[in-house]
Amino acid sequence: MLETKIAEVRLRNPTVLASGILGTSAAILKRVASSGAGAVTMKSIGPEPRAGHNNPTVLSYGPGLINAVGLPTPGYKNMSEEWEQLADLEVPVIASIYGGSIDEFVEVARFVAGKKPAIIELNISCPNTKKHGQVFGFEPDVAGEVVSRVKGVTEEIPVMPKLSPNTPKLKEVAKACEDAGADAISAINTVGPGMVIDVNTAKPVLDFKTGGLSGPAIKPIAVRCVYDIYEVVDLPIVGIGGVSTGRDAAEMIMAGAVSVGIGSGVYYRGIDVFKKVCDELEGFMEERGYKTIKEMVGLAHE
Amino acid sequence: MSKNSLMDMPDTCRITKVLEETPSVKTIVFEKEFSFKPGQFVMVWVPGLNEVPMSLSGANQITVKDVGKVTHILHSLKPGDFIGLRGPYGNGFSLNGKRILAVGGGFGTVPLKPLFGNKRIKKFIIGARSKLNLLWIDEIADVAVCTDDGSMGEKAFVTELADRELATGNYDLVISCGPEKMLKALFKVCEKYGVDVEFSLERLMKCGFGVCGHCAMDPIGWMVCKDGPVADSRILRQLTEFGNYKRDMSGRVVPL
Repeated sequence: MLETKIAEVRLRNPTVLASGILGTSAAILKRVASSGAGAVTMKSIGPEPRAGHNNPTVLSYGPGLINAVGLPTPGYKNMSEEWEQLADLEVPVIASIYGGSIDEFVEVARFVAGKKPAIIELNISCPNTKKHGQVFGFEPDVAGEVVSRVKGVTEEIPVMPKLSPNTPKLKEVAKACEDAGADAISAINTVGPGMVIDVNTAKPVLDFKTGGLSGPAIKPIAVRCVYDIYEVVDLPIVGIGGVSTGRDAAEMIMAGAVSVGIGSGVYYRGIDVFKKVCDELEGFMEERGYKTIKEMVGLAHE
Repeated sequence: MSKNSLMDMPDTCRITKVLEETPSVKTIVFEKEFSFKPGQFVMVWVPGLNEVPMSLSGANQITVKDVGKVTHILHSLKPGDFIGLRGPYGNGFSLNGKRILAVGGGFGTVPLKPLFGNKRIKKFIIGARSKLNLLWIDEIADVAVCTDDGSMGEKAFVTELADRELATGNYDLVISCGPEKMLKALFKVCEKYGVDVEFSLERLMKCGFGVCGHCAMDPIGWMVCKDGPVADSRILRQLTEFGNYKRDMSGRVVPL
């Protein structure tokens, strides 16, 4: 009942661990898979070792999380143990990658493609560093170029750019990605950035001062973005942003997603949020007479 | 969604007292009081600088060793200065035994301090490199002391003293905190006698509440911040990473 597909990749259920949450090692990805996720996304992999920002990096303001972890990565060359252990994972593995230039995206993509992940996700939407991330996802022509250059080295592996909600040109960026040969789109990355200031000391709390927002507080923005993207492209969409219940998942699917990313939901409901969301979604579908995910996709547009 | 929003945001309060424990260790007492279980920790924010996990050495205090940039700044703070705190986090010691042996290795004595008067703990073994690194031994009723250099107590490692104690058959649980190599050696001793353990572990942490994944240990993805920091024998037997390696800030595997 819950089976779905991203491009040609089959998922046992539509829940996907979103990039940046719990994706630091093969061990924790395995644990997430055994907690019920339909697919798992590795934390974004970059070209060189990078420590990321100092703490505080991840905090909760109640209805949402704010984070500026700053894209820490061992670098794709230093992850041999992880790649080995990921080979026998029970669910599809999505490898998220980033670069500080289009050439770096290509360099990382070429190597990662050789490790045969199910999908390569392009992080062109992280708001938390100056040189990486959303600088590649704000303009349609730049996003399109990243996609087409990466597609040139990934052979049969589907490429899925992850889009930012923070550009007024979201639809144009989505269309440009499709035109450049993207196989799927994931949306959204974190919103903002935002800021939290401690009033006793008059200092911003995050070390990077600003950070991306996630969690229930941003779900309506995510749903709107997925809805907008669905209107302009024919690609499968992984809807991400504030999903932590089965009804949230149904909402995202009705907006146009074929599967749903879960990240901050781990904070709100624990690591078994994947199983909980699946059980609830199944219950909802039974109650409303839906037999497949497919028949719910994009229903809000009809 | 019943989380207290302040709980995972640093709550700043003033320092009320700073105590010098050893030349390199200070206890910082603050206004905020935590209801906590021994072994739990807090994330300590030095406003504008960094945030690090620290064991609570009491309901309103942390004990800090001057080992790096952040701890050095913590050592320079005075009563009246602000620090930010969030937590308490982690599981703490379950103390799942009736006759407990507690072993503190150097600075690892800190999370054991709230247990000093506990009736189920029959004996403490406190060891350190030298006399200067021993913490609070005068505050414990039944304590065996050892140092690597023999400057105080017996010239021995805590594992040797623990071996002797466990040989008596008087204990059903060993709790400990200390350098991981020491814990690994101690675990071997405890396994030899078939005595269960609860050991407090440490890894680099970012969130402290089980979402960033940075402190997850191989091969089961056991998160030190949320599943731990206290691991029992059943968990330790599975952690191939224990006593061998850790991950740096980038996530790269580095030897211990």
